[in-house]
Amino acid sequence: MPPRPPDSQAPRPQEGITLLGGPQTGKTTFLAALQIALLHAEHLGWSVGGNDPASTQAMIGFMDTMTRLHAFPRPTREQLEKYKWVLTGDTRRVWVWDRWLPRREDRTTRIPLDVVDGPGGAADNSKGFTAGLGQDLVQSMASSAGLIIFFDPLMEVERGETFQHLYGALRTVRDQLTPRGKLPHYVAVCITKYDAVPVYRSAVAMRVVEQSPDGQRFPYVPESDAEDFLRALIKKSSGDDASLIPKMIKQTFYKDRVRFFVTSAIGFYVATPDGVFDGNDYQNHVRGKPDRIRGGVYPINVVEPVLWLGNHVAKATRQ
Amino acid sequence: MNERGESYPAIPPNGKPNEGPTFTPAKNDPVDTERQIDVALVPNGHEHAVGDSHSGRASALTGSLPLGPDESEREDRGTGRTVLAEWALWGKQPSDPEYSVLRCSTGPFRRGDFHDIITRYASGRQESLPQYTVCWIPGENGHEGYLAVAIHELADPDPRRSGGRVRAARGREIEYTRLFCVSYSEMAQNQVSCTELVESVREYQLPVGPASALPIELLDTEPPSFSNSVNSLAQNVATFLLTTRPVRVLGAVEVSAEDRLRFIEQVMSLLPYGLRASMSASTWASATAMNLKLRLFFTSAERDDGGITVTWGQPKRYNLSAPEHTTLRHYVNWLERGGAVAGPELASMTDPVRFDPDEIRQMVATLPRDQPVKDTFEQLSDGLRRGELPVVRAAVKRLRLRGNRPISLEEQNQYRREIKRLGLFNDYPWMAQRIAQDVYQALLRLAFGPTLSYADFREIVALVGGPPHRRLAAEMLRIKFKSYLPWLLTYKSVPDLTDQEVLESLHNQNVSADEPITEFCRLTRSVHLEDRPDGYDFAFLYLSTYSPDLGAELVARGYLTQTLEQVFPRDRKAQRERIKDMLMVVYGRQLTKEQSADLLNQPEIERTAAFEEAVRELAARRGHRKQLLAPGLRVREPFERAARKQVTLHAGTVVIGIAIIVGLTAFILLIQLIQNLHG
Repeated sequence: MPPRPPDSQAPRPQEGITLLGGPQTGKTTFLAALQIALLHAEHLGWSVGGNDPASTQAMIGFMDTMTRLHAFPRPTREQLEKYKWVLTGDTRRVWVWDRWLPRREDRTTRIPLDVVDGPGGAADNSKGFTAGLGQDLVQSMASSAGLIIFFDPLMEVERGETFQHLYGALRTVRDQLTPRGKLPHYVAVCITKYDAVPVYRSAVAMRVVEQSPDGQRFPYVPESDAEDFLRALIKKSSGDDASLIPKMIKQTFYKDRVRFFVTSAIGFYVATPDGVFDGNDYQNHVRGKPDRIRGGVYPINVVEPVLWLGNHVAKATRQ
Repeated sequence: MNERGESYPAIPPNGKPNEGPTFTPAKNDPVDTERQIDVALVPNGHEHAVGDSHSGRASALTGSLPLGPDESEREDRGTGRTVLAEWALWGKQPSDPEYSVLRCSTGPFRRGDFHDIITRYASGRQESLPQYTVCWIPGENGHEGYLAVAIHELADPDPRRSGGRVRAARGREIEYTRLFCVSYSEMAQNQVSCTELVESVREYQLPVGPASALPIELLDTEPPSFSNSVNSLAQNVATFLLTTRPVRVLGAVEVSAEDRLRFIEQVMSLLPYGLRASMSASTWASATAMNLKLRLFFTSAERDDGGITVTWGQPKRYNLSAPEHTTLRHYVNWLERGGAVAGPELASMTDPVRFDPDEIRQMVATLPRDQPVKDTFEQLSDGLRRGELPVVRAAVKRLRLRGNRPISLEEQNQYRREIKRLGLFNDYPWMAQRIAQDVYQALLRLAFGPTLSYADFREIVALVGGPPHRRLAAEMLRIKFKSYLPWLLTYKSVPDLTDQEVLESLHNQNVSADEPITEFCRLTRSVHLEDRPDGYDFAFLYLSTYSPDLGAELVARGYLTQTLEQVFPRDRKAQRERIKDMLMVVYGRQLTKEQSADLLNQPEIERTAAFEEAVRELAARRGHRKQLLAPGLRVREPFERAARKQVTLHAGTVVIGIAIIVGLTAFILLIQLIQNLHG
């Protein structure tokens, strides 16, 4: 039985979610795809909107970039960007007591989703966290209730630097908040770029892929297999310390507050909006200068981590 | 290799991968999992930029020589002025996912310094390029302050113009930043604008490998030709910047980055050049960026950063009447009065100024040229309250200039109202004597002119809320007075002066003995009731002190009975005592019946009730031993006053006193006797 977080003693992060990951691990694209993912996942009954004009503007820009221009969002540069979004659930009619009398009331669930996205270089151990962007990132993490940690298998194979982009930031936050305990954050570990051919093939090879029963029948890795998939991918890292990543996560966070997801921000290519996944023609990411998105955007496992975190962050903020 | 560093089978024009694995969801498929992962993730030759001539460190930054500026164009537009620029190129190597300083000069800034400068003024995610940032570098580590322009751009697709930079790598376009830093003193000396500097360095590509600072020949630039509304907006923005809050401009998405840069220059040209020493601005900044260090920027949406928002092409006439906007109001007034002259004047103000409320206020207060007197009064008030000597000096200087020109009565009244409203005649202890002298003299001159009348004195009393304090009185005494009375009242406001000194001072000015009393009698009705006793008593004292024939003067003036009635309208005793004293000067200590009858029948003497009583009392006096004292003489020391009075002891009083003493002695003796009997 893992130790439970001591609710009364644990420092209480304030609000919001911070994205943590190295450069070009797909953080901004993940965020940009969220609104598209929610549109596709109509059955979930959630939508996302801006909570201030700047965030709304950013959402519109992301949508335009990905759907009309079929391009990837421009990278986050030398600044932390804060998006104040809000997840809105379906409106339900519920019974409430009003002056000892029951009455029906429309109730809409709203989860504030303040997300901080920064350039990957901000989390680089070698640049330190006592000043500049690194310090800003650590402060943002410390004040967040949730973290999304990005693990890009392709970058890890090529450069093996994921650990370097996690350890320093997490260590600093931990020393600031709970030097002798674990961090109280809820953490979604996202294994990104599932749509890339090598990643998808690896998942298939591991036999952790399932196919959605309806719609475009996109293949996905169930959450129950995600952690194992991560461990398998880590073995192929070009770095020496990638194997420390799961251990570090386990040591830093409470086990029941960490979940793993295999995600793709742009999803697989299908020829038509009502087409189905074709195992012979699924590559949606077109190489170029710059790269482009070949067809429609069908995010995979983008909504799930955000909704899960959003719920917990909202509760943590209310406490 | 794509943007994300991955490799995958080359995609034919139809987008289908050459060799896509068939999806087999069944988990019991007998596949060698480990081997499949190896196959999938081990670089297979596609990893490194197949067909991507821009990939690879070797070819990236050493392939082309840096391009110099177009010589013919420079000859046409050259101004003959040259500045020396430290420089850096920010971007990333094709093989590296992270941005860093790729090349830099080897001057006072090290690579880490350039990194800090570029990241400090980062404007966040950009939707389009190029963009421009203007920033400053404080003087430290042995170097002086610098101004810098940063050009954020993609490399030119034409390799001959790209400066040896690749346009994209790892599937992403690389956003380069060329940074050019010129020392502030050089910029100020050459009066370089940010548009001029950007135009001049635009064609400069940066050399590979270590290099020294670049000499930049400054090019002539076209002055911006904005519409009136944009020009007015620039003035709005310039004014708002003086609040030290960031200003963001919305609604300019369609405006080119170059025009936005010109607008920034237009704004900066409406501020003293010295403010450029701490100015940061960008033609675009992300509205969601968390820590912008920019004072002025264009963006797409409101931000929750305490800044001020303006909209492109929509200037407004803001109400700046609130006290917290005083500095802004003064600045706007100054700009509007200046017209075309303001620009050159602002350009000539090259002393560095920081965006700090105190420095801004001082800067506005010390603007060259005349300012509305009302504004100068307010600046003076601010300076006096805060103890800011430069502000006070500048205000005094301007007030003096104004004082050299004719001032109408209406203006004088207006100035008096302002002096009262702002408490400018208050005593500010921090002021040295010299500056106090300058301040009060300038104010007195403006509000009251070169001479002070009694009415002016009363006005000053009203402005101060009481008699003028010592330092103000001292300055008033340096001014010429229209009559003795305001002089006297002012003199008497100085607490450490005795009547004797005042008498001597007046006498030293060759004022004849009867002049004050004559003037006083003439003006009595116009003198404020509370000033009349002092005025009368001093005038009489002066007369009695310096007149060679006091008796004749008093007779000639009919014992001043009418004047006394006006001086002490509700105090007949005061009138009577003074008349008695005058009569004693002429007739001695008592009047005979004939003398009193004669006095009461003289037609030239105004027979007031007090006069009649005085005559009757003196006529009835027998053996009165009171000595004559000059009735107006006021001695400040109470003991001295007592010493001058002779107290007459009556016989009855003496007897009673002796009886009390005897009684007490007897009582004490009795008590002692009783004690002895019992002891």
